[in-house]
Order: sequence, then C-alpha cells, then structure tokens
Amino acid sequence: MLVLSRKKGQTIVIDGRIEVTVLEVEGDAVKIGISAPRDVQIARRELLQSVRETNEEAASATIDVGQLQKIAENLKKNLS
Amino acid sequence: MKIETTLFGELEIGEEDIYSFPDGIPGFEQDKRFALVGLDGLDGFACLQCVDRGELSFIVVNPFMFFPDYEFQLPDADAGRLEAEDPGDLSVWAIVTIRDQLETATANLVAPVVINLRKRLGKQVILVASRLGTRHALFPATKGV
Repeated sequence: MLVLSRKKGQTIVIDGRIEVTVLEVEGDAVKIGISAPRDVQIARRELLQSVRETNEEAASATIDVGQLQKIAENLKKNLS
Repeated sequence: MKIETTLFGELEIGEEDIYSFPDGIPGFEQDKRFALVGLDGLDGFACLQCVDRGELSFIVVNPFMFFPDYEFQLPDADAGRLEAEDPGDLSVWAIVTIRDQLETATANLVAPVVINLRKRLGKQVILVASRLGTRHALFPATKGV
C-alpha cells in the first residue's frame, strides 16, 4: 500500500484520469472529492461488503418451494 | 439441458433461458450463468438459479410490485456492461433474504439484479449514490408479528 501525506486542497492523480482531492479535514473525518471517468465505479467499501454479505445470506437460505407457496398463500389471506 | 438443483430437483433449462453474468454476483464471482425460473402461484417472485452449481440459487422479487415508489438511475458503467440500449429490454429483480419465515423476508434494493433480456446479459448493479439499503422488509404490514 502506498502511503502519502496531503494537505487540505492538495490532490493525487491516479492513472492520469482519476483525481482525489482533500477538501476538508475536521477531527477524524476527512472530506474527499473524486473526479473520475463515468465508467469508474466509486463506492464506500462498507456498501460493497454489505451487498456481498447479504448475497451470501440470501443464497444459504434453504427453502422448500412448496412450503414457500403455502406460506405466501397464507400471507395473502392475512393481508387481504 | 437438465440440471440437478437443490430447490427444484431436476430442472430442464433451455439455452434461451440462460443469462450470462460476466462479473458474477458479489460473493459468487465464479458463477457466471443463471436462469430465471418462475415460481408457480407466487406472483412477483422468481428464482435466479445458477446453471453450473445446482445448489446455488437466489429468491428474487419484482421490486416495483412490492415497493411501488422504487426507482433508480442505471449508472452509465452498468448500462455499458449490460449493453443496454432500450429500457424495454431490461428486467429488474431484487434479491430476497429469507430468515426462518417468509413474513420477515427482506429485499436488497440498493443492489438490484438487472437483466438485458435481448442480449441475455445480467449484472447485480450497486447503486452507490443511493440511500436505499440491502434489507427492506417485503411485508412491512406483518413486521414484528
């Protein structure tokens, strides 16, 4: 991992096409501005992690389709 | 082709029912081919069944049916990956997590599965700028019952 220091207002350039600028520093929070081409996905890592974990949980559920249909049927009755 | 699945037992899938997910699905990046299987009597539900691993499947729902206010802008990068030209070619699904009971099931609205029916391409799109989450109650009326 490359570690470098930047001051407020300073920028780093990645691959000649992505610019990351330190906009504001307050306590332990840093506000960052990122300029990148539209085909570059920028996401908070927590979100990606959360999607992955939710997928893993969704896939590991063992459901019986027949039971699912029965439950849905009951649910429909209860809701109507 | 016939595949052996955990959910349906033996399942007959035509080549035309198979969608290619070039990026896989987060957590399952190795799995690239899925079929969308309807569930009899379950309106708005379907199953995204992995073609190459019968034990892997996701229950999905039509998010617009369960969340009438749901909308999102398909990011350019994803539209490119899906070769999406006409919104009419796209089919949108939300992955459902079921814990013990269907009543407390949740849908992942921040990461919809978008399928280009014409190009037979699919992708789980992550709406990075959205305030939506990965766990929205499918049946809020019965929440906590």
